[in-house]
Amino acid sequence: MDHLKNLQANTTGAGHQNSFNATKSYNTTYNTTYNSTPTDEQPEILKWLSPLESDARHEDVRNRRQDGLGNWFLQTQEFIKWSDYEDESSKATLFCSGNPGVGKTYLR
Amino acid sequence: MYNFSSLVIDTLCDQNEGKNVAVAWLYCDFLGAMEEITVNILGALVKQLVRVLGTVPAAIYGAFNKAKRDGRGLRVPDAIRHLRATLDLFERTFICVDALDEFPDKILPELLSSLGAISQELPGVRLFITGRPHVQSVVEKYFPNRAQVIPISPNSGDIREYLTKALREDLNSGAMDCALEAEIMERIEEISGVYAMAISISKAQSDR
Repeated sequence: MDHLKNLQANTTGAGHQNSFNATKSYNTTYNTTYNSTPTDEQPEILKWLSPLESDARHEDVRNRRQDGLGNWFLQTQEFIKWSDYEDESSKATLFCSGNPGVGKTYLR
Repeated sequence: MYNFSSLVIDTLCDQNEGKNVAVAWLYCDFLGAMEEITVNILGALVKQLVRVLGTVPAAIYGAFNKAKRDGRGLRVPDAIRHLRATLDLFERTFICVDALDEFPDKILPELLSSLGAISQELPGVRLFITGRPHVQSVVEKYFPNRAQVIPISPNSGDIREYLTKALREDLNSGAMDCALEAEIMERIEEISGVYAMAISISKAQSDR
């Protein structure tokens, strides 16, 4: 999911000292990212956050997915509205209810 | 339901490229038996969001250093705090949870109450959840008036497409002729109808 990494959050990108000066306010510390985090420490921090690898699991599933199947769902009004970036009126949660077999069996 | 979740994740990623939007997800079976604890699951969401940011927020870096000094792991209240604050850095975040019913019962209440509270507090957060019909009441309990339910039944177009590909790739294709293939395809509608009926009968029996 390399393209995800291109997304920019509204972070100010201040450096080390500024970030630490701002630690009194929790919100400020989140809005001020720690750009100078040593890169060799990042894997350690990520592992500390969780040992689970969601990206790897998704890669595995998507590689076994058959193209074209389930596309009808993406055309439903419910999904279109829920996934619309600017939509404010849709309910926050979309629950797809189905018995085993309705999706799993489509895998290669 | 893997098909739906992974398809939705990819669609959301493509649809929101270049925007201040993050997509994060949880598959229940990426968990190892020892790792099925709430803090790891919530932490996995924070980890994905941090990867999207491309940098570690100062508060997380500070908490990590403190935990390292104290020899402590991440705790649930901290994970929730980091998750909420990191989600708030994006205009919109989509969290996809695959096969909710397959998450262990012992972690489900804590996981759902955390996500429920976050969803109530942060209007920019949207959740996509798949699961068997019996977890609908659980979803509605933790996301009161904030959940829309879409029943998914076998789709005859999908089945036809799946079979077409399977027949095309059949190594014993000598056994298949055009008439047989046509007959198989003609019966798909009928079969998917029977399948849907069997599902409802089996559900009616299990409800009794």
